[in-house]
Amino acid sequence: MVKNRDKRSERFKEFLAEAEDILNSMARDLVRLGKGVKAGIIDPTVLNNVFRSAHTLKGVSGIFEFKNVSDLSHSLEDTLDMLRLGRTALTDDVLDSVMSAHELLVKIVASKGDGNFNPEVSHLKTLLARTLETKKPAAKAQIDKEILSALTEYEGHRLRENLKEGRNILVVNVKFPVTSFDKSYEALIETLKNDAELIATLPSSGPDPGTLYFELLVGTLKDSPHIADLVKGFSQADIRVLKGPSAKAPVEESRPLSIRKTAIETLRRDSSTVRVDIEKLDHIMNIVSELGILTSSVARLSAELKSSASTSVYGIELSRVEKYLERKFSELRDSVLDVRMVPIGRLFGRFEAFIERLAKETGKEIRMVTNGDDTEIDKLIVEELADPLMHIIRNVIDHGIEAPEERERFGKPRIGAVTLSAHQKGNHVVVEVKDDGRGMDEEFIRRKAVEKGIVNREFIGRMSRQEILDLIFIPGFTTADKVSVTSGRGVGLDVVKENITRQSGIIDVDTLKGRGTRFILTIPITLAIIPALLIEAGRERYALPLSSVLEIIELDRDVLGREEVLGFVKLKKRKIPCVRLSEFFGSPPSGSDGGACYGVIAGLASHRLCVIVDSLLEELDVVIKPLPDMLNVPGVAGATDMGEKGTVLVLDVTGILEYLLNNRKVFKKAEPLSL
Amino acid sequence: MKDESQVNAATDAGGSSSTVPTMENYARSLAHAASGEEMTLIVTFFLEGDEYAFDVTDAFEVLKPGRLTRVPNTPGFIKGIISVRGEMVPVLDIKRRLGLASSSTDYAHSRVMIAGTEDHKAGFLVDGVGGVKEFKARLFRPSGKDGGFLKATLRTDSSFIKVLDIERLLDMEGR
Repeated sequence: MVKNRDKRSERFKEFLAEAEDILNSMARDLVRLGKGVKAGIIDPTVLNNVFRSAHTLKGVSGIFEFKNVSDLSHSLEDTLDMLRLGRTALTDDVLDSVMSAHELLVKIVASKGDGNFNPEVSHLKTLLARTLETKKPAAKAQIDKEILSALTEYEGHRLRENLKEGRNILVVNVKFPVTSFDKSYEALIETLKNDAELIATLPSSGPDPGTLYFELLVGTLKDSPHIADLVKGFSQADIRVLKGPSAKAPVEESRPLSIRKTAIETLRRDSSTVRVDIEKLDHIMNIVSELGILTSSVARLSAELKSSASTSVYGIELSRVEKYLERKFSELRDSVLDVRMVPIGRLFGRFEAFIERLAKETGKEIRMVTNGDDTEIDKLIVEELADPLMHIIRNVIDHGIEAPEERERFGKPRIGAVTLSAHQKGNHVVVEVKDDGRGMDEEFIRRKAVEKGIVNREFIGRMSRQEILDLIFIPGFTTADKVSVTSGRGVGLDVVKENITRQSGIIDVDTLKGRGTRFILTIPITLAIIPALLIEAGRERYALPLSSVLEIIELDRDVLGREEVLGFVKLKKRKIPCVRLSEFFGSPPSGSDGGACYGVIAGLASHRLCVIVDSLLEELDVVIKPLPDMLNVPGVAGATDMGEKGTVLVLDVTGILEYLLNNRKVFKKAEPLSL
Repeated sequence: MKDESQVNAATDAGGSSSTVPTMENYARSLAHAASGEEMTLIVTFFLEGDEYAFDVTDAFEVLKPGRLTRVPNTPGFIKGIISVRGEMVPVLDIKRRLGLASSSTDYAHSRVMIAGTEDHKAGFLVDGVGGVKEFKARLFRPSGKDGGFLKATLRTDSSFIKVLDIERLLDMEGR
């Protein structure tokens, strides 16, 4: 069935995903490397990781004839190879070229092989090639040739660096039984890591065929008895001192690079994960939801059998089976949901390099702090969060964080902090972007809003503080007087709000002048299966996702008055506009007069809307299926098949609010006070 | 004279014939394939007493209308949605789409015919289903570019069948 072309494009998609992964991990390492260069300490493991990433990327892009990627990553690999071998000094300039190359690679991969995006890579290639010329002299070897000849160039380099540091060089002879070799070896290396650097592991020989012999070449600041003590727990150790402690060798180059501990190189990939297309998971999810429908049919059958005297025996048997089926079914459903979950820390990690770059561009000093990296959230939602978070961070760096001098004047630390944090709250994840910058000036927002004609002068004085702050999410409201390099791309916070709303999320803002601003996003953990409330309005039934509801209140039908189509209800001293769902959907009004009805409170930024429904039926989990394009109407998020109970539409109350905001007079932006 | 154009002799009460998967029909079908005469399969249905058809490759299945779920604020010819094994498919009032007056209130025989492409399908509310029928390809008279929703017509001694263009029916831009 699958055509060749499709197969290729599928493999291409896989390649893009892999390239993205490689570039992501490279980004993380580059940031660490950058910090190291600043501090004058370079972790060889990190440098080596960056090299391996470039090498892998070159390999995979070559297979797909993705020429500019493979060319550029090849140049990058060359430079990194020289760096890790210590033939080239890692200076700021070199690091800059490496980072620009990485950035361009990210762009090329993001263009997904779009033929129209063909950036010039030759300039960067030349830049990288130039780094190869700045050689630094190799330290003189003070070790016998026999050992040196057994080492790879990288190992040789590490040996020389250790000598330069004036460390002891030891040869540790160890032996392990073949059966438990791998575990003991790894444990030993792990123990040694704290006190020594393992330069090389050389195979050796011994009398017993059931034993493996090794020589470990180790550089350490400790003496040999100390190392012998460490090794004793794992193997018989026989230590030979190759090079005793010496005075620190004179440092040769202009930029001293000291090296800390390093880890063992391995070709084995450490993760045992499988990459799966999210569409395949969606498919499984669909099957799971159909299974759910079948399960409820079985439940109904068993209840029917039980109620009749002649078959009640079978009914009881069946219901026992059905209970078990139900339990296994929810286990299955939970595991499938679990597979879709990824820690949000991976998303946060992507912003590290981004913040660093923006800080550089704006001449500010900023550090990123993260909290709650382990908080899990649906992979699809994570991706949808990436852009809004990026815009918020741009905004924060551009308008929030002050220049270092200004910060010092106010007695703040020079380095501003952008804190990304996340925590779970019921079925939602709360993501927060916090800065310790100048905060927002309420007066300034008032003035700006009047100036731009967003709110008229009479109303502005009566608006609450929260209402004023929420003005920043209104389209056309940009507080920056000048369009800046960083956020001046016509992307305002209104787009952020829209994105978050599409995820059934809510965005809130809080600020303290001179102290900083917090953007708080509340997003459902998953959209695959959601808890919903079955409601009735105008004789039709709908599923109402609980995630989009702020509150449900009981109302008195008589008080509301039947003629009133769009009135107000009072909630916590706030007047909230309301709309009958049946009216909005043009369905026949409900037959019942008087009695109770219910108000569903929806929120969009600071706006609140009370949607009036006739009755609340039951709570249940639903799988939202999208409606065909021709049926995209405001207020409907999709539909759900409830098997025996038929198909019902899934409401999008935030969508109703949004539609009314854009179309109804009472919500016109000139009168947000009336909210 | 017996209607030579129609391959299948199995006749139901409605006077139309359908391809029933019997060994006999299978053998006949094979015989025709061997004779080299190009055949076309259509699936027919009734609207206000007239017989219409889709190419058999355009149709997926026929369902009982069951409970349609109304979708508010949609054009009048959209009757609602129906869940086809979890997939939400719009159901169209094909009579309104074709501009036919709707007189029939008898829903006992009405059916929803699911047709279209894998990615773009809809259910069509019809008064009844005729079945799958096979005709010689040369008997179809293409209606050309100005045919509107009509793709071709077929006149035999016993019937007049209008074959509809599913792509145009589903093209909502032109509504």
